[in-house]
Amino acid sequence: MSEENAEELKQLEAEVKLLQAEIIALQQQRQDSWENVSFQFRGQMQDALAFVCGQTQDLEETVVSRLKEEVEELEKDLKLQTQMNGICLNSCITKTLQSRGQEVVHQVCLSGRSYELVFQVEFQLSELKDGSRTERRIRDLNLVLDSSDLQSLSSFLSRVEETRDLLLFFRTIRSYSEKCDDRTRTFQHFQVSQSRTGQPRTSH
Amino acid sequence: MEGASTRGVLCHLSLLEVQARSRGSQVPQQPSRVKELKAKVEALTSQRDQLKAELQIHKKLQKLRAPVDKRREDGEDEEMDVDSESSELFHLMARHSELTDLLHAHNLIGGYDAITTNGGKGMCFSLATEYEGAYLDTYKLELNLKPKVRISRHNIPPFIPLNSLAEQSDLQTDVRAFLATVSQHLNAFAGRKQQLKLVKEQHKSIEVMESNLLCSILVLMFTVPKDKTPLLCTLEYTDHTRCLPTRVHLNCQDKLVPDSPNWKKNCSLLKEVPVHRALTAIKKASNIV
Repeated sequence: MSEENAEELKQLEAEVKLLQAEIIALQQQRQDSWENVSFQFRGQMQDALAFVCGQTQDLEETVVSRLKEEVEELEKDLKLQTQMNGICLNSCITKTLQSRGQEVVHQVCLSGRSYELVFQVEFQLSELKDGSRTERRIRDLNLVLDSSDLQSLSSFLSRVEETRDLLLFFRTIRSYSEKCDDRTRTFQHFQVSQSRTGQPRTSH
Repeated sequence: MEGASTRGVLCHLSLLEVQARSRGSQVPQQPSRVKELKAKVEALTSQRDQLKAELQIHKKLQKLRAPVDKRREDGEDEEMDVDSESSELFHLMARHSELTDLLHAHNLIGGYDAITTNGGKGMCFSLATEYEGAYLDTYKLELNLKPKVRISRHNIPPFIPLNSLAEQSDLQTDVRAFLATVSQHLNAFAGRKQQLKLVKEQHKSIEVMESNLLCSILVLMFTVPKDKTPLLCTLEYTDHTRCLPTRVHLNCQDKLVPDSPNWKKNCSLLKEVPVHRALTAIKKASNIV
């Protein structure tokens, strides 16, 4: 009897060790894989995950409708930010390059446009925990602009890349593209009014 | 003969006694230890299964978020159709994570993080500042929108003239222009303040004689290598939307120094390059100690 139990104990202890090792490996995998900031599963996403893992009593339609509600809130929020910031972002891909102790480094790739100005921005973001504060820093900034007016912007672009002034870049292209847009609309307005009065359009 | 067999029996007896005693103390322990371990195995198994499921879902959501062309390239579209069960849920999850990332990106690029407050009657904005890749302080500004657009609460320092900026950009019709101007002033201030911090850190041989809250005046004391003559340098930043000085003025007992070609060059440099970096260049040229 005692032998059987000893045998069972040994088996169970071995199983515990095995599972613990598996869990550590899976946790490492989760950290190493292409990780997006949002894959931290909070709120309705947490509930949805629990449902998919078969760990809740909720019905699928309940989970779906609650998640839908949250997604709609996020869509509204994104519209508001797009309007206020004057920047339309199409995609944001984040990859964790390093997560060591107090410092996390992400590689961020953004694409979008401001009025007619299309951009692609890539940079490294370092976040260093210093007590209760987090110090954020941009490293290695790369800017690509798709603009017919590249000449006037090229020296600005190379300067901003060098100094890594990410926010200055966005403030500048927003005001620049806003002015270009104003200019284009003003020009179009005069073209239209000219053609209405029957006068020949000036070619440009 | 008798001695040996007695010893043998006694030995055997004591052995049985020991066994009985140990059996007696083991038996009550064994089931609870086994139960404990079985419970642990159950908990760990559940944790492992959850992690596995999470990783699978990550993979699936990533595939859903990849551009459609790439998916077709990888021949994965067929795979997606087969899994139509709960596909609405997965598409929602993918869209949720996409939106969360985009909103985070708006914050990273210095967006206003606009929130409506007070049942839509107000709006709160975050004004982020940054200089040369370092994210600095973020300021908050709340506006009341009805009946008129008015500045409500904020934590912007008083030396930034909010009210006159509001008048200049016509707050009633163009909130965005107002915010852009305030942001410009705040970022320029943050930049000047950061430059001062870097001067103190990187150039210990240079004494900061005077600076003001707005960081629009900076008076530095240099030491010229020849005779260790002190040289007073005043930087005036009269354009508060910029991080570079509009005027550089030198004061020295030796009147020849400020008029020298070297120092005329240095004065120009100080107007074109941020002060902490200009000083590095001037030190390198051995114009100051």
